[in-house]
Amino acid sequence: MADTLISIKNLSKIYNSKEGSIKALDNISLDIHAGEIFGLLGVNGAGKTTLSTILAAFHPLTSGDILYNGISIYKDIPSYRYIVSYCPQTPNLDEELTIEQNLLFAGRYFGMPEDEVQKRTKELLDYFEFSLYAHRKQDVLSGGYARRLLFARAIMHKPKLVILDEPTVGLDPHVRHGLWDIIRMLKKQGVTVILTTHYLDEAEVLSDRICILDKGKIKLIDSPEKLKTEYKKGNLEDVFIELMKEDVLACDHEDGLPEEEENEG
Amino acid sequence: MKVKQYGKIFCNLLWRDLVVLKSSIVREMINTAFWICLTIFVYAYLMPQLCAGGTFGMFVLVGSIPCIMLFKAVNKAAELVADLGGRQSFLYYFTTPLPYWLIFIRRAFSIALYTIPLSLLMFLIGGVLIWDQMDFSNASILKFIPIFLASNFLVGFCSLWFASWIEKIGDIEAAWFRYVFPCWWLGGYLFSWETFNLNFPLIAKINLINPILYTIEGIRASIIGQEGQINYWICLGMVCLFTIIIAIRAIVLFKRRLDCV
Repeated sequence: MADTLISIKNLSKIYNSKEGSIKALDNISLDIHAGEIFGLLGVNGAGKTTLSTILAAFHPLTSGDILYNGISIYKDIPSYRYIVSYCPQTPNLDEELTIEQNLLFAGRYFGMPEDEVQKRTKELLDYFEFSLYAHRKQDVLSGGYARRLLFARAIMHKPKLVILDEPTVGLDPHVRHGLWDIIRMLKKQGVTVILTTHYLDEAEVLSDRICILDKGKIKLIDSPEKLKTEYKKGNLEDVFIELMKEDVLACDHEDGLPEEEENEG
Repeated sequence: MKVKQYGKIFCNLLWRDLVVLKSSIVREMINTAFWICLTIFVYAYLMPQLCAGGTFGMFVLVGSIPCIMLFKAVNKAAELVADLGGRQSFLYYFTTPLPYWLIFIRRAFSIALYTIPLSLLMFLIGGVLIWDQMDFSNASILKFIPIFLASNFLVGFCSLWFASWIEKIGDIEAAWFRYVFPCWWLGGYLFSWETFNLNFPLIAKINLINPILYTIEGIRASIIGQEGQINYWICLGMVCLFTIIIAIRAIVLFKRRLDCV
């Protein structure tokens, strides 16, 4: 059995506003294994980003707990942040700094010794093909390269867990494939990756296990292969559509509205 | 151990701010020089021709120092609000190994780091422009440094407080008209609190809740002299007190706004 890196216990998140309360996550429990790529899937509003940001120790949870190596992360959040890294959907790079400085300071913020900061920065600039533009501001980068720099910054301090929120959204296919290679490289290095995505093909080829969230609840967790076998489908997209269909039918039954009546409208 | 670790990260964040400041300081100085040159022209050369006394230029120049800080701080608040509504690069700092309250404090320190050289340089430029009117016989550098630094940190936290409740960049006008303008205009930029109190005692007493009043009066007391100003030590104490109150309020509001942990 794989080692558990992160254990989520009965996690709920409620957003309160003047308009009322929204339960974004409802009593979620799951384990994330060390070294795996864990795909988080779900339709818009399913709670993927909320779960990602809570795991990144950015947003607080309403109830439940998150354990890292069996200890609640909330006992010492700054220490937990040394092992985790979060890449948001929109690149939030420091626009005032150059590409190189973005990496240098990322290392320094995580308390890396200066010689290691310099060495690691050079290594990442070379690997991510930024060496020629190292002294230029990051706003010269295209969407795909900005995302690469975001990846580079995220792994600068060698975290054990990288959370990627929609890392390839809006990118050209060849750029997406380039980023997939980087995600695979992270896995090879033993880094655990939580991958939030809308792209089912991406989740299928990259993820070791997939979690489908629906209305803040876990619908299922399994490997893409097992899901395809169980639902007798050729790809994950068909499995997902099947699952969503089941959900719609279940809703119709709950509402007590037979299809015929609805259609008469 | 934690203190050392936090201190190191905090210093690295400030180092980043200095790197950014270095690349923009000339542009910022040129922008601010317009303000100070026009102020000097009007209050040191034009107004004395009309009615004001011959030392009015120095009086206004010294009072301008906190005003420059305040205006710059509001611009910084606008930058932060725009960032939160767009790329959200500020949120990256909440993934670093620092407690959230230190990230907010660092933001205020960062603004102070930015306003300190600018306001000081503007004072020096202004001083050169009206050198013949400058009188430093009652000035005390030992009094000036603490009130000057404390005033910069106060406006740094004011900036954080503005950004904590301004939802979108279009709402920055509310900060300008409701807070900055009254604090600046009634803060004693053109008159001392003593004169204000002699003519409108009730409004002058209400004005004692204006934090900018203490920065202006305190800096004047340290450069022009104590006569006619609120006691320097009261000013310094009030600036520190307002800094603490505004800092706590800003951090509480910002934490609620960002829902951070």
